[in-house]
Amino acid sequence: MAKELTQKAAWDRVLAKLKKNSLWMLHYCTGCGAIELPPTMTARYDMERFGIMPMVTPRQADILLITGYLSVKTLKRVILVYEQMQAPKYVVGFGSCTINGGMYWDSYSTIKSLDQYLPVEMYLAGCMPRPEAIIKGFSWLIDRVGKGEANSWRDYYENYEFYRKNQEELFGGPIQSYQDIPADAQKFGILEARQ
Amino acid sequence: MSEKMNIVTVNDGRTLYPGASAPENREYNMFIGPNHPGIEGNFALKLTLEGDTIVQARTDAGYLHRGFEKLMEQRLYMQNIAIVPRICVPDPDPNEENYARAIEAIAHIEVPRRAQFIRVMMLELSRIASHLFAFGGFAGTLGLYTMPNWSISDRDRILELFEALTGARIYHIYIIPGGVRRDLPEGFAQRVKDTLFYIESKLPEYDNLLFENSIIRKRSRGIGVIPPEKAMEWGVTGPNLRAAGFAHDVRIDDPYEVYNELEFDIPIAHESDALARMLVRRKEVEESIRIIRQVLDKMPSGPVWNKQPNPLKWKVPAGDAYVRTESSKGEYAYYMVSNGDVRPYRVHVRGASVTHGVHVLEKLLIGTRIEDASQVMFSLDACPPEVDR
Amino acid sequence: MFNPGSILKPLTALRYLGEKPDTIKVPFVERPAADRYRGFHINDLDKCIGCGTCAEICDNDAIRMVPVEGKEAGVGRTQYRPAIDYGRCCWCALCVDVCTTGSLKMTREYIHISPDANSFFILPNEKSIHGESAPKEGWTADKQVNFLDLDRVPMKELSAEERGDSFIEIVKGFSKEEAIKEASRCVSCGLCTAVCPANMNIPEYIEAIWNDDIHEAGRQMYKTNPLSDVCGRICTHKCETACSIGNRGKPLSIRWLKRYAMDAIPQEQYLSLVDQNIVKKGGKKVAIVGSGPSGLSASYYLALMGYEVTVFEAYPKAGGMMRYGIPSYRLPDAVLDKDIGLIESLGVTIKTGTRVGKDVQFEDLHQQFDAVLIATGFHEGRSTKVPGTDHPMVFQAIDLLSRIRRGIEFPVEKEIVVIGGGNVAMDIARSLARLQKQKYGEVHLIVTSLETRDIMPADKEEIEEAEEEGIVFHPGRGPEEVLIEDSNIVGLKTSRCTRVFDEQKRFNPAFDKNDIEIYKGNMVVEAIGQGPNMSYLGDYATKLEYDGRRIKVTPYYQSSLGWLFVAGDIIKGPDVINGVAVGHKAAIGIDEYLAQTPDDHVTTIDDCIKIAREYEKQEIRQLDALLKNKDLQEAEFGEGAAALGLVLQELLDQHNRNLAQLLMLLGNENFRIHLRQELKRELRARDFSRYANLAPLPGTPGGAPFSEGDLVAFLALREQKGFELYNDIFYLSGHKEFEFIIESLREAQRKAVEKVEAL
Repeated sequence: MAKELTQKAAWDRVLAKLKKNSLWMLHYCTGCGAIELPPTMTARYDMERFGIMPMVTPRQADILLITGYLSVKTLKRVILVYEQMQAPKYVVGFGSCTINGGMYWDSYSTIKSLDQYLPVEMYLAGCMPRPEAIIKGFSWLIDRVGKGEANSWRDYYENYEFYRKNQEELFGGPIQSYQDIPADAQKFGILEARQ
Repeated sequence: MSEKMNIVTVNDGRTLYPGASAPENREYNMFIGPNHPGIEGNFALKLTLEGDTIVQARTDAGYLHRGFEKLMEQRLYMQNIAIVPRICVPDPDPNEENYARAIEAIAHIEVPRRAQFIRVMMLELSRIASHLFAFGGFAGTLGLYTMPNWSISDRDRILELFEALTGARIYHIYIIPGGVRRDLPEGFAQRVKDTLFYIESKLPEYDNLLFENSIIRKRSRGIGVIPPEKAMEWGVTGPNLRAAGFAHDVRIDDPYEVYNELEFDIPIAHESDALARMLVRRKEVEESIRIIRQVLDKMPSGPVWNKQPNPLKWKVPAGDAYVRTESSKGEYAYYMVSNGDVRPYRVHVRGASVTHGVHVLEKLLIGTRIEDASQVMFSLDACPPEVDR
Repeated sequence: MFNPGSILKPLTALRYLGEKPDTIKVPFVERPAADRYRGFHINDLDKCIGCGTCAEICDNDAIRMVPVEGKEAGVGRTQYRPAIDYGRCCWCALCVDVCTTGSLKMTREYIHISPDANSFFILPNEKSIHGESAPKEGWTADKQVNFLDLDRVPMKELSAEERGDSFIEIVKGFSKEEAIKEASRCVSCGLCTAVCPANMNIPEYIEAIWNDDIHEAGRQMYKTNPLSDVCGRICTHKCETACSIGNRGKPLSIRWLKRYAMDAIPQEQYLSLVDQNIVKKGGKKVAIVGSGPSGLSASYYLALMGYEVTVFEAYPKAGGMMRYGIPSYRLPDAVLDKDIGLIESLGVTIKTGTRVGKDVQFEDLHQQFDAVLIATGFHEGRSTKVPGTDHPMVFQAIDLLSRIRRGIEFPVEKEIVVIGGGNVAMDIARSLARLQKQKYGEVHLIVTSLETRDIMPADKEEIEEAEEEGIVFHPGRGPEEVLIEDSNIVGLKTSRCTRVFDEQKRFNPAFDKNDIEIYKGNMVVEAIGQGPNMSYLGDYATKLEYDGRRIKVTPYYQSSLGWLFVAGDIIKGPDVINGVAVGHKAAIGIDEYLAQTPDDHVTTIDDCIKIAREYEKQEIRQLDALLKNKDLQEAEFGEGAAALGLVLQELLDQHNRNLAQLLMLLGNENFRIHLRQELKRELRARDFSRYANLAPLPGTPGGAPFSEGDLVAFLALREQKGFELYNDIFYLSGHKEFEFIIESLREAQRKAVEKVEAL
């Protein structure tokens, strides 16, 4: 091998291979796109062949699936949940509503563009995406995790002010957060530890 | 030796000292929040418990609010058909049906016979799909995860039928004012019959697994009882009402489309608890299969759409109409007001789940134990997107 | 009673051991989508005409019309094609069902995964979203369930027996219900406006008719066409050829709708329809020679601009070719008088019975008036000059038509032959047929033309109706000789015409002299074309510069003698609507010639408004074409608004399309309509509430309100249609983003002023 692998880099590679085969999804139906999740999770399309299982607590989940639109009320909870998830974590935008507003583009109570509030790893087109499309999307995500390219979660720590500013503008004031994200990143060395 | 005492102040100003005697009030708050497997959809419950028993319950709706009734006012009549099915996610067809019938009532549009039969078939297929989904959800709250694996997988076959007929699995956008949007494709009737045969053959297996399972029966008997004398007062409709002993069904009381030409029974039960409600739904699946078979036999030929003007320039005459449909959740109604313009002036949706999921649920939860709270909610089959609109 | 069963009941689950699982192992097993699946779109970019109906019907505003390279605007097509944003689309397929050409379809593809939100905005072409050619089609348009109204409301007409012997108008007109039903077919695409020579606001007046607001319809028509009554009866309706509904069905009956609207308004109310914003222009006087369509149109616009106009007409009544060339079964006198009455009520003096060159000398016109417009038209018939055409019973169609109108008697023989295949030949043939029927009780009339049936220039409807009235056609024959015996005409000798145009598409007919046919007739009428009679010009004819046989003019119809303008058939024909458009432009040219003030460059927003208003008459709908072409700017707007063009260019360079449109908005109503749509999009895209009475959304910071100058600019929008837009803008005025727009506007204007001053 021409490139010298440090012990950490080699271990990260092994970790990536292990990670990609057991991504756990947070069981949170945020919007109307969630109706196509039960067929994907249960016997018909069986997501569990890929190692993806629903998990109820954010502390042990890797993927946050934003299925469809987010109302402002839900977004607050989603941010709390997102901050409780351990890095590395992947946000998947499901359906047209996360991309540019979708069906409810002129509604007063939904958000129009998800990546202003959370860093999004990938988007799936559809209203809503079919189980086949979901599984293809997950395969794509698994590939990226395996190669070590799925790094959008770092963006949250690096550009925390940007996201925080957008969130506060939306909610009209500072929101309650149980974690101090920049301090955590510093203290636990999150950005240096993970690839 | 004095211990260092940590004084912790909690939100409501009470102080708690470790080792102090327990306060008089033994109640505590628990939020079963939106991210929870025991909640159907995106919905929250704020419970006050004493020990394991719930003494007060408040529901927290609004996580899925999109402002449909206002959004519908901003779109033309024909554009609204795309947004209307998204009001109730597991059972979208009664929405399309109500919207179309409201316009037909105001503008006195006649729907061709074939279209009426096709509409009945769509509604009944949607009812079966929604009930299968409800079985899965109900079993999940009791820990029986095999049932959702089976019933949602079988429901998928109905979604394939929808895909062949309308072009999309969930949001069909197929029933439009004046009729339906496309005719049946080749071989569709045979496919429907095959699927119905398959589902009918699965029903004894569901019985074996869920409905005649002694654990399930023991756990859900006597849970979430709606007193029959209160059922009418609280405005309960649909299978929940039929499980309380009342034989009310919009398809019989106020027949629409061609229901008055079809033969079917209304299953009722008298215990009015969670198990009774589920058994009523199970029987309704059989009745729906019967209805669809009759529709396929009696289907006339003819056009499927009564031509309406150019959608960009279509004014519905002024007037109002209240139309109702029996959806799988209950009595579902639309009140539409038109002032002669190209957009509706006001559309109000009377959702069945607001009554069940918010008001009835709060009353029923009082006195139940915490482990049965989920079960009560799922047995009422409340649909949070419909509650929030 | 419930029986729990034996304790071994759970063992019944063992029967599932050997069964095949239900799972579809998806990435390894392909499951095709249904035949009707609503997936991503494909569009046949050549069949698509860019009408924009899909963008109108889309309820998520997901479709945007973008200009595409290689697609050009033409009759009935634009250079735009739909681009679809899959971050908004809900796959409802309303766009496919309402497509006017049927080019937009959906495929069975539904998978697109990407970390980049911008990659979801695509221009669908014949290939699928991932570049695969010939994708499988999913949802396509259906014949039975078809949202557009493809059939016309039929127009009642007099039958052939009823109309054969009288000059009563044939077409009966729409009733109110029929008109509203016909107007409801329109999808407001605007292709008609682009192709109309006068760029009339057709979708707007059709919408007004549909809303039963006849006065609004009249107002819209009067912006660009003072002769709407006439056009509502006899226009050559180029709009109908471009109508997008005509691709799959029958085009809208735009001409009959116009007729319905104008008939429904009584004459007394005509003046209220005219947009009279008259600023008196220093009492300058303009003379117009000829009161045909172009002369009258020019007089209308000049009167509205505040000039004193005098029209000189040689015939006893005004109207030119409209009165003396078109028979009254197509255009009754009363209708024409309605339109002329309006023009006279604006203060225009029409001197009938005054022939320039005889009663008034051209030199006097030059001395007494500040500008002169000649619009005398083609009233001299051309002759085939075959032997025998000097016989007194060989007539010119134009002469006969005007004699019929003036009530001058002329001999009507029992058998007549008409030479010619155009509309004038149809007119004279049908008029003579009626006179024959009245005099003799039966029709013996033959029409012969060089052109064969398929290339005859007359309208198809005219030919059909003529045949119904008993006229016999012999197309493809060329006249050889008029046969005369005992000084009476007995017939016309014709030979077969083998071709009319040669390879260079020039008029060069060839004949086969061996194939002779003789048509019996006592009278021959020639209707092969007309020419001008400009003898009144006198010496000035030599002082002008010519371009071939026509007078050389600028794009504003100004001749080389600066005070002399030319309009109408003499310079550009061939029908009424072209005459109206030419007259309009000539009026603008005259205005510019007469109103040469030294300070025509942009100094303030007020000047912008003034200049834009002056040129509002242009009604140019496509900002892009104009702004991309500097020469066009100079030609169209003249030197005074070169600065306007600079400002617009500056704004475009800054990729600030909104501002450019904002500026054009300040006076031009067409652009107002466009801008309204654009602003609606922007408003929606930025998540602003459309309701001015709601409090600003949380998170939109309030900014400084408008300044005085800006308020002045936007008060220019205070018309009924613009009021809502004004409301939106005013509401937005608190927002910082919009402040930025105004700032940039001022900045660009400053730069433009500097540039102009440097010139």
